[in-house]
Amino acid sequence: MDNRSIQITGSVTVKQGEKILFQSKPNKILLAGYKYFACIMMANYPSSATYWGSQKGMNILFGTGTTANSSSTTALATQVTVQPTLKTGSGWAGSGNSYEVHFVAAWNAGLINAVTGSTPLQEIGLFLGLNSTYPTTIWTTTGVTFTQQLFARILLGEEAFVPDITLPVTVDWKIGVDFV
Amino acid sequence: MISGHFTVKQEGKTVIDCDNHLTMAGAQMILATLVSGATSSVYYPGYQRTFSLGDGAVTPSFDATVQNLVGTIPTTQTSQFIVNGTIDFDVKMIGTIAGNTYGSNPITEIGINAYAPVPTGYAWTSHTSTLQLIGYISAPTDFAIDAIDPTKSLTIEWKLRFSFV
Repeated sequence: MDNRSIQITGSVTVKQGEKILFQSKPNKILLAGYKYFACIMMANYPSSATYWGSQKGMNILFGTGTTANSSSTTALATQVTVQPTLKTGSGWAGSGNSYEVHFVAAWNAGLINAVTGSTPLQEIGLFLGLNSTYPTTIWTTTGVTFTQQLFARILLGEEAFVPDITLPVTVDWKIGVDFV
Repeated sequence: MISGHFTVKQEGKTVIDCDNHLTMAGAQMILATLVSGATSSVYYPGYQRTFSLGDGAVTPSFDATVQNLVGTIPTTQTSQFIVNGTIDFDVKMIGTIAGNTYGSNPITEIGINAYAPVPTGYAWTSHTSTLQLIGYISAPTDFAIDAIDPTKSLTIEWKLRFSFV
């Protein structure tokens, strides 16, 4: 390992009440995420309110679909439009060759079940404010627009679950960088 | 995956062609932007970028610095956003410096510096930005000590590739 590349990674931990349903399950960073990183390298001094720092568009949503991730994935397969009760996160932290940030969302007990009933939750998406156009040169306010887009997605597979109607659900989404 | 590559030319001839090392500042910048709550007044890498030339000895590390700076090259207005097919993206920066203007010793350190925000936490809206080393190559690890003739002009191209993996 001689720091020639940076690997963008992500993983998800889900809890019901204090019980951990699964921990550090790897996600898929989607194409929109890589496009965003390249766009930021071209940013000069965004001086317009139409520029979104990524967190401005942050959201986490569940889904019940099972479609595999690919380079063309831009949405949850079957999105459950139950908004989190709480959205927060933590700033940059780490040391040595590994650094991370966290995005956290929580739903009050029974909120999700009221919509999904006994249907298992199969997918989770992390949404952020990302560029929806490509810059062609160094940009400030022109040529680039930002919208809320799906940044990463995780398919739960064997960890698919029906929430306990009596307990809140919490999702902790870690995005990290590792030198490789 | 994010990786960088340096190509150095003198009189049209490629004298260095190798992958770079990336630094902690680059990683910090990437994560800082993800948790940014700012809507304006943020300096990012495109604000100012320079190549740095040194004749010291740098040991590759995530927190390396150029040890003995002998010259800088602005890269203003030379970046490009290149889409390779549909899943890879390149950002390219180019700079040129005349011969006999960057010392007389062999160049053993070449760095790319860019403005990068220093984050203050989740949903930050104010921060400090400084010109920081985000990638570099050094001799003899990456190229021969005598690869560059300091009497000749030097053109450096740095390409950062974002690969969907």
